[in-house]
Amino acid sequence: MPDWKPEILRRLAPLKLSPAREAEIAEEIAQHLDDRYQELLATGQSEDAAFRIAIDELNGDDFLARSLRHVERDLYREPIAPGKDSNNFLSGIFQDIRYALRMLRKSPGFTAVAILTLALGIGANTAIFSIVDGVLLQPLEYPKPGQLFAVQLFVPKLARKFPMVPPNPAVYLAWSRQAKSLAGIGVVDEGITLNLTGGGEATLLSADAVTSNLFDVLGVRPQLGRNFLPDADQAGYKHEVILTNGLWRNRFHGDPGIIGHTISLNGSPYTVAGVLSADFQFPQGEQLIPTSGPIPKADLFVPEVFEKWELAVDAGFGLGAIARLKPGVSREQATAELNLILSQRFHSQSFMPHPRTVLMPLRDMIVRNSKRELWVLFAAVLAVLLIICVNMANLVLTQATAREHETAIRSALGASRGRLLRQTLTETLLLGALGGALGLVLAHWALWALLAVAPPGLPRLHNVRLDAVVLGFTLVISVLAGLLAGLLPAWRMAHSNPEDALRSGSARTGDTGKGLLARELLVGAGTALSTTLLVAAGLLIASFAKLENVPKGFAVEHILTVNLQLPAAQYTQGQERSEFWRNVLAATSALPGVESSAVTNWLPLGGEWNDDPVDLPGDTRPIAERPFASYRRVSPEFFKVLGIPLLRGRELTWADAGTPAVVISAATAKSVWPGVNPLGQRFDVDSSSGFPGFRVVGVVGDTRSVSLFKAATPMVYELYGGGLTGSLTLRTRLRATAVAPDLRRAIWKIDPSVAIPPIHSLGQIVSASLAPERFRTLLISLFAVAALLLACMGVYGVVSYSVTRRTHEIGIRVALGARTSDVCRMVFVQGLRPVVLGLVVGIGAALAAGRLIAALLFEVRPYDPLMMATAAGALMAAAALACALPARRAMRVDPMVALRYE
Amino acid sequence: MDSTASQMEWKKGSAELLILSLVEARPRHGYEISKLIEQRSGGTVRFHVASLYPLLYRLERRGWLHGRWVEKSGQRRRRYYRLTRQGRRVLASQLRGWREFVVGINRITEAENA
Repeated sequence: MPDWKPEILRRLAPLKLSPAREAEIAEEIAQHLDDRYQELLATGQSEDAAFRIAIDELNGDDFLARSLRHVERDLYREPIAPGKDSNNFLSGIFQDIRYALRMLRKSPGFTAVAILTLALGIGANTAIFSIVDGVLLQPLEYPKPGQLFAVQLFVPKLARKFPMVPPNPAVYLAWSRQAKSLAGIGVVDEGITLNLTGGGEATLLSADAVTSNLFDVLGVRPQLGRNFLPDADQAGYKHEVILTNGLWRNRFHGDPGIIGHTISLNGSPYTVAGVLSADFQFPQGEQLIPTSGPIPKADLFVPEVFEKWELAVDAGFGLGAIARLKPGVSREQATAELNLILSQRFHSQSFMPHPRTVLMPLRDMIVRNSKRELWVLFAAVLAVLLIICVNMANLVLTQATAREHETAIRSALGASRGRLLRQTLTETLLLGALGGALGLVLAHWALWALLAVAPPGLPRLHNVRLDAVVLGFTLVISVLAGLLAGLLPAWRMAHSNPEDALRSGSARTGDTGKGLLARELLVGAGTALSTTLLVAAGLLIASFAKLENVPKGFAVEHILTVNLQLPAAQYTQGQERSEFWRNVLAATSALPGVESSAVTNWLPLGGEWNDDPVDLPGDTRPIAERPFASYRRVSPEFFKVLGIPLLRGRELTWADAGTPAVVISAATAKSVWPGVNPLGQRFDVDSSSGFPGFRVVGVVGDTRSVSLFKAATPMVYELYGGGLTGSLTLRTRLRATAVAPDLRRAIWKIDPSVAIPPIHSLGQIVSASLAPERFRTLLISLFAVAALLLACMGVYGVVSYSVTRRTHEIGIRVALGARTSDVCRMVFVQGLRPVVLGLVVGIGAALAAGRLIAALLFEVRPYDPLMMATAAGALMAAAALACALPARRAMRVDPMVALRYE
Repeated sequence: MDSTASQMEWKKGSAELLILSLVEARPRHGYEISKLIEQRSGGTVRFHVASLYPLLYRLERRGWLHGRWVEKSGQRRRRYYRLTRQGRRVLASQLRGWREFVVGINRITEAENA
């Protein structure tokens, strides 16, 4: 009989079928040809002729392949169980995915828990990353943002008190006129309040005064109208104003005809030059000026016109300066040139000895205070995801052990290690992908919630969104999570010995030493991560609690404040102004429910302001080495309203107006006149300035006036004279809403053109000053709690599984006389062993992480042993709780049942 | 249209029907199916190996046939094809369609020749 197979195989070759399928087809067709050949011989054909006729049935060389191609292209499926290497990579992957889906459907509980925890982890990571990306990583919204730099001064002798000093008008003008390396430099003076009158109720607006070129330096063009003309910041030029889009829409109904019209600010006419676009953003407060306190967002911009006295070399260090470097100029070149210009103006005896220029990329400057906090948050949320991955790896490993038998069969049938590895990874990658998809939905909500509670001082929040970069990040972490969760189980699976698994003949084989070790290592890793997080969260919580309860030195309860601004055009004389304030104080303290009222030019927690030297007669030290104090103006009742105790001497009275009498704080007394009675001592704010000297008449208690973080700043309180701005403070048991109508009426009775902005309680101001700390403490605590729960879940999973597996063994032990307490101890020891290991590693990591968060802590040491012990104790307790349930089960094992079962 | 070409066309449309109806009563192997087609058509319809097996595989792929290797003592193993439940339904509907078609054709041709 002829051998047909070579002929058939030759024709099948172009189809590249799997060897098994090829052999099957060849066998069937060869049989057919055999039958045909026999039949032909029977009809009397010669062997040659019979062969020729039979082979003709194949119809040429390529007909068979052509007819089979469509049928066989995707008919042939590799049998799943053997998991043999497919010769088609893609179809192999699809097959893996189908198989993985089937396996996931088979254990819906595991799948649901895995996808949900992954979704929570990935969702939280996506939300936090989108904030990190929007705030820290995305470039600024201005054209060519890489050329923009914030310009500061560094004064070595002042560095302890002021790490950075904002420039003053004299320095700015020198740079602006001489620097060749800059395409431009502009400055801003923030936190100006303006009374907008006409067209309804007077409104208090917040404004920034900018040099006429600042918007050009930024590369910003108004949406309507034009930028300030170059002369706009020269004295005597007519007043112009540029409105923000928000003010234009809310107050002027988005009227495009507003350009060229005049509005009344502080009683003076200002011409509207332009309206900024809605997406215009400008750094506010300390984002640009390091010594600044919290400042509301500007509603409008006016040109900065320097007064003559401001142009003195030593005056007015408080401007925010933004420079644009010329193309091709490096930061170092520009710094060198600006330094040279500085050195020509300042000598060693000046107020700012030997200042140096610091150019900081504008974006870095704006986000510098949020950088560490956001990265710490990001690290924390990444740690949570890692714990989730570790837990998942453990679950998958458990499953893999249960499936050892199946794996062994597949391996015995010819599945390669690589293929088995890929199969397991496909399962966890699929989980990662599904978790990532659900996580995106969660991230959308989480982000919305985060932005709602984020502290207003967090810069660039408007830039935070789920964009392509964030989606890419989500994709990457989803894949990484899938890989992390799957690598160890996959490796274990691929390296298991099929022979052993098959010989035992049962799917319920005992846990091998290696498998147990792997699982314990995973639990240890999870515990380590959550220990670190718990310690970090504990430190931040302790720090926050200290901050909230730090003695402030002033009362917070029952105090309301409101900022008032007098129209400058009407109140040109000091006499008129002080009359207004005295009338307001008299009227408000007579209001029902108001105990007393006072006014100050700077409320507590308003940031650094008016820090000046205390010059003693005959002090020859350089100015930078003399004591400094914060100078504030207060009305007589101020100390009573704020509950600041009088320690020596007397408080100020209106009779002190025009006299050198001042009250100082205890810190000032201690730093300026140590061991000497300060009462009656004389000093100057600046002996060279020609200001009249002061005489101490009283000493009051210290307060945390600058911020809650700063220990008592030395203070000098002068009598409040006739200022254009002032913060009215009322001591009352009524709520702000109850007082507001009466207050409004009382003030407008004195002058209806004074705007009355919303009234705040001092408690609100204190609370707002802690908003960033509260935000990050809340988030980290949330992550730490999640980490603790996850770590417990990990411990529970392993211990519970182990008890189930060892039921037989426990049964034998009990039968041989082990007491229930022995069994219990065995379960606990096994469960807590990896936890202790994790604790040790975790505390080590927490010590390392302490350096990272030290800067965020207030009066709490990052290496606080008590905190470490508390975190460790909490974790041990939680882990023990997680062991308790399986331990109870183990103690109830009935030896008879357990043995019979086997 | 010459006779070979027309035969090709007929075969294409009816081949599935022929195979399905041949395995309706009992499972048969490929050679048996090809012989039966040849015999019952009096030699007018014949399938080459290269056409028959791809067709069988296609029907199997569609789930109309189910092929299985069967070993009988003293014989080589052979692959037998049997009609699946789905195949049975398809066959019934194809037969119905075929009969209606033939009736229709007859009516037309009879009317013309009458």
